[in-house]
Amino acid sequence: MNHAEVVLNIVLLAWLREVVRAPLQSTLSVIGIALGVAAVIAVDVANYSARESFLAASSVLEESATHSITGEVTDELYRTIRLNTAYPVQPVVQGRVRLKDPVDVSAIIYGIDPIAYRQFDRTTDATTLSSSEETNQLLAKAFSAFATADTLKRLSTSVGDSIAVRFGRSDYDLHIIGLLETETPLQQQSLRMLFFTDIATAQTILGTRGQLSSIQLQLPPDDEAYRLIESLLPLGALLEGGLSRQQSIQSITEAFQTNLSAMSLLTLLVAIFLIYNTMIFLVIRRKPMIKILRAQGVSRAGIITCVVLETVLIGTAASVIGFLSGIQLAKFLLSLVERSINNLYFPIDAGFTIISTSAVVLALLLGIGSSFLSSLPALREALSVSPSFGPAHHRSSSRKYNRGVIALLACAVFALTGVAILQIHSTSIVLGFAGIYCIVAAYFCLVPMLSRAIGRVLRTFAKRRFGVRGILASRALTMTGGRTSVAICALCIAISATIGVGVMISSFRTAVDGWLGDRISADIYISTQGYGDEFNKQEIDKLRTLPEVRSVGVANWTWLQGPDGRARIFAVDYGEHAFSGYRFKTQVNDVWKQFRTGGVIVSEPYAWKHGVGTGDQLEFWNNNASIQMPVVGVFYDYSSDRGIVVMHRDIYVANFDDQTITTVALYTDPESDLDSLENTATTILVSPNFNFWQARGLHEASMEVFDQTFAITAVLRSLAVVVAIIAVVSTLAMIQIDREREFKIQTAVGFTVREIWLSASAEAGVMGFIAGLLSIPVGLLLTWMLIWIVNQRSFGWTMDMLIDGSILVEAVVLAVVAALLAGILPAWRLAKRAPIPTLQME
Amino acid sequence: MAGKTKKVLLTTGTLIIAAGIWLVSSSPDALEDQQTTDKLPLSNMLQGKTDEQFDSAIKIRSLEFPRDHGPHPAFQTEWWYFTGNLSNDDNTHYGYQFTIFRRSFSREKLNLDSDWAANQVYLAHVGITDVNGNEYFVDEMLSRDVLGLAGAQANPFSVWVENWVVEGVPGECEGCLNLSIRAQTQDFVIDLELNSVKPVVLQGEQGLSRKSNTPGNASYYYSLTRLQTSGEITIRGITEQVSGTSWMDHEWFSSVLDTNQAGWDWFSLQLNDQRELMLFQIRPIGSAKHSFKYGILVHKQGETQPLNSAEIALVPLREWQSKSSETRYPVHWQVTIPELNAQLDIEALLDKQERDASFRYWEGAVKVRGHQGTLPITGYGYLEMTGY
Repeated sequence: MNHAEVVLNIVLLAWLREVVRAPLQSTLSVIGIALGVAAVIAVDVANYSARESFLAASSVLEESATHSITGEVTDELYRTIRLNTAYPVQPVVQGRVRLKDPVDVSAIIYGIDPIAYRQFDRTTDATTLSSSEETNQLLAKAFSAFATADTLKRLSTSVGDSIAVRFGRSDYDLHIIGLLETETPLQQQSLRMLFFTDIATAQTILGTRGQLSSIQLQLPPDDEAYRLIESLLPLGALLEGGLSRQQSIQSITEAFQTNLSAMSLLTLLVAIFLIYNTMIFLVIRRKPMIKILRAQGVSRAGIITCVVLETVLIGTAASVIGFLSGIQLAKFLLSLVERSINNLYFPIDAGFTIISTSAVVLALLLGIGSSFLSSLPALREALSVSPSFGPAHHRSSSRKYNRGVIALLACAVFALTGVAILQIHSTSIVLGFAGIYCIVAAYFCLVPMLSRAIGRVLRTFAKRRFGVRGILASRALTMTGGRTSVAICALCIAISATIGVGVMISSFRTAVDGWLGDRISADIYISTQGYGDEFNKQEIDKLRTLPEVRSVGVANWTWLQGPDGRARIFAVDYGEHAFSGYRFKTQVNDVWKQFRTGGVIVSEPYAWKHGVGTGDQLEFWNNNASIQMPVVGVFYDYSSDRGIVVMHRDIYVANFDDQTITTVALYTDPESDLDSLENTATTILVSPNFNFWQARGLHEASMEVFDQTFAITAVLRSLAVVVAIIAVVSTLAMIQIDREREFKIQTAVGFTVREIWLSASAEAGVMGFIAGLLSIPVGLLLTWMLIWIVNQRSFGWTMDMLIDGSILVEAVVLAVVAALLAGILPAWRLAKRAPIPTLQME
Repeated sequence: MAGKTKKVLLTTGTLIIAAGIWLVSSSPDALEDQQTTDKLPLSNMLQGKTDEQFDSAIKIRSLEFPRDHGPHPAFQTEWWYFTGNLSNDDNTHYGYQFTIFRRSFSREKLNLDSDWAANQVYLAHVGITDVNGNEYFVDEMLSRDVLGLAGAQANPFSVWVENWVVEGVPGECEGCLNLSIRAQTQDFVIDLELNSVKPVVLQGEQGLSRKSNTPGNASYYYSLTRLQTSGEITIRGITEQVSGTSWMDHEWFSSVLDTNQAGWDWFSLQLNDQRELMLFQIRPIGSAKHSFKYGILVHKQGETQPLNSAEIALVPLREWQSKSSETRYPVHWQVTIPELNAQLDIEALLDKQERDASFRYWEGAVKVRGHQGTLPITGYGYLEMTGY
């Protein structure tokens, strides 16, 4: 061992003793970094899992198809295609049922024709059935089904057992005759709670005799095949090509992920800040030690080795802990996602977490990488101290001036870029977010200056009110500008996000609530379940004669084809009163009169997606002609992000010769017993396949779905806040420690411990207050952008921005409390220290 | 993935399912056999215990036409077989096969509220032998009997799987049919008109054709042995006008083979002197020595002459081995019929006429040369070999 090594070993030993002497220090650092890593990993993994699962579910069974026919697809259409073309085609009948045990758990029935299924080229499709013989048993045995091993395990059944399912009012026993096998656990996962049956069984259970959910095709990539198939389609059936199908799946996924991704980025930002702070804090704590070592002649290289070693060790430990707890957190988040999207899209399982390689890399990079990088500036600062006992020098004020100029410049650049990006008329959510982030970044460039400005005002105020103590408390804001303003920024980001998302959700909720209230005018709605079912005239007439029923409205949900493709049509005759439930974006005179005489109204998403507005003409085809219909209004609607066109049923019948009724609205006398009315109505209706909705139940059910959908957003929001609070704690602690000497002097000149403690706490509170204050405008800006950019681009709808004052107050209070909490520990530590001996040393 | 590999996988998949479908209601023994190989010898579906719910061919019953041209759903299995030798003006020789099999998995349709509820599947096999081009094309189509996608009916006669159809109207003679056959595949199209020139031939005892000494191992079986044929054959887009002679078999049963029987060699020969000869032997497992044999001669005017089967000798002269299944088939035979004082040399027009599809069997056009006494005999025919 040479001399240098001996020295290094001694230095390391001394360092280690320092670490052991104050274990809390290292522990806190590890916790801080781990939390940052965990938050990011959790959001990332949850996000990734949800997306993968969603994509897998939408494609596992259908990915080998290049095209699909949806809409009004009948057995007859399948037969026509089968007999007139030689391309591989397969029919699919799909629908949701409820299990009897566990009660009300929903499951999917996926019915296929085993013969057509096998004629499909499935080389790109990883789903396999355990054997072809068993597949054929599907055909030969009524109510037989396949399911994945996972599904059976979850239901505690096995092959050979039966599972009771319920659809509408009918119960069936599905006999599990074989296993649905997949190549990867992911696919297994995406087929959870899915029962693969013969098409005859599926139609029987779902009550859709004669109707198919879709026809899957494998077409060669030429126009001829596409045109041939298209020429066979009746109105109401839509051939979607592989690409557009992929796109539509993608856009749904994108819209869903938008919230999550935004939160993920936010958490990442806050987490990096947290790690940065933790590391600086750590190195600052080592400052006295460094001074001593330097004084003893240890070289810079020796110090660097020690710091790097400690950083990497802490970073690694924290990454591992953070990663593992991140996964646990992700599972929790996924359980919320599951609740949210199970209702809307597909079943996923929280017990199943997909860990992407990128998550692992991210964890290590974040934990070790940013710990290391963050320690560099701190190290520089630490090394800048001369090997003496002298106090550290503050930075020169000229640098501060430069910073101000840089901040202003950066703000201008960010703001201009953001505005420019948002000017691009695009439906891209990514662009929307890029623009929003630029504008938010521009704002945050100004935060240090703004906080100093507010600090100055407060200082003047504090001076008048509290004299020298007041000055001391507010001084930190103006003096230690650098670090303080970064802490304020972090808190500000987190708080503004809570405001932005909070106001957006509450606006949205209010809008949806009002929309439901306005639009649900009848007391009972009865709707058909499938494409085939419809009400006949006798049924309607009988319903009209019921004593409790004041009036009956009828409507038809259907499709119309025009030059711009297919549009969802609601042909309705609920009367003028119900029509007044439509809220229009711009006020139109006599809209009912115009509607009654041939005008149509379109939902906001329709208007946005098709670029139409009041005064434009829509064109639809009937059997022989094209019908022009003027748009007389654009109404708010949150029921469909594809958009709908509403026309009076009489106009629809006159132009399109279709008397079908798929929905009936019953208006009753106020005191009617709706349950008994529902029962009476059941006896009148011939088909059992109708859904009944009582207005109140409908409203409640819709709001429940809404709240569940946004549960995930709320949780992610809280997570960001927690990380931000911890970031602020560490910042404050660091500031306090940095200013230890200052406090000591204060003690020495006669301030009591209590006074110092109060002063430190007040300082923290002021910081929180400023952060809360500054986060309000940016929070509202975020809301505005979420509504007008993200929501419009994702779904096509917008809503009035309703600023709920309580959310703003809550935000400021949250910021102050967070900062106060953050300030307690460091202030207490400071205050309890005996000043004289330490000061004597200097 | 390369197109070829895809195609292979696709084909394999189709074959497995078709085989499986067929065995939905087969006996456990047959299923065990099936598990050892992807592709089945055709004979497998003819073996095993009869499903109780189906009728068996035990008693002689009088066959009536056009009624019995149609399907017999009380029996589990049924087929309509069309084979023929055709040529164009340049004497390019073609053989063709068009078969539709019907197989029930239950007597009644499943009790489901759906038009897809089925109780049987139809499987169509079509094949063309281009003798001069040295090529053999096959394809198949499978469907359940729903939505009009597959089915059979007696009057007017029709059997179809999707758009592969054989249709017919009664001809002038007893049980005669004038038929049209159409099938289009990716590689080839057949579009033929067939007119019977001889009355129906009831095989076995008035149409009850025994396949072993066990009662019930039999089928109801009749043939139209000479159908004048003309029409078009299109191979890879090139259409040829063709004419020649076809043979129709219609057979229905629930079980025909004994468990110790391996398969059969079946000859339908159309001689140039306007006579037809049908021969088959059902081979026991192991040795062909104690085969169950049957033969019938149809004279020029349609009179039939059952042959003394015990005396008929069928001797394989040459074997050909399939590259895909590695099965060896005797593709050249010497047949001796002492009763007729006849000796025939029967040889495949093309060796590679093995259908290696959902069921594996050899089905191909053959040429006949020989003599009866001193008179030379020539002709063409079809040979089917299973259980190899």
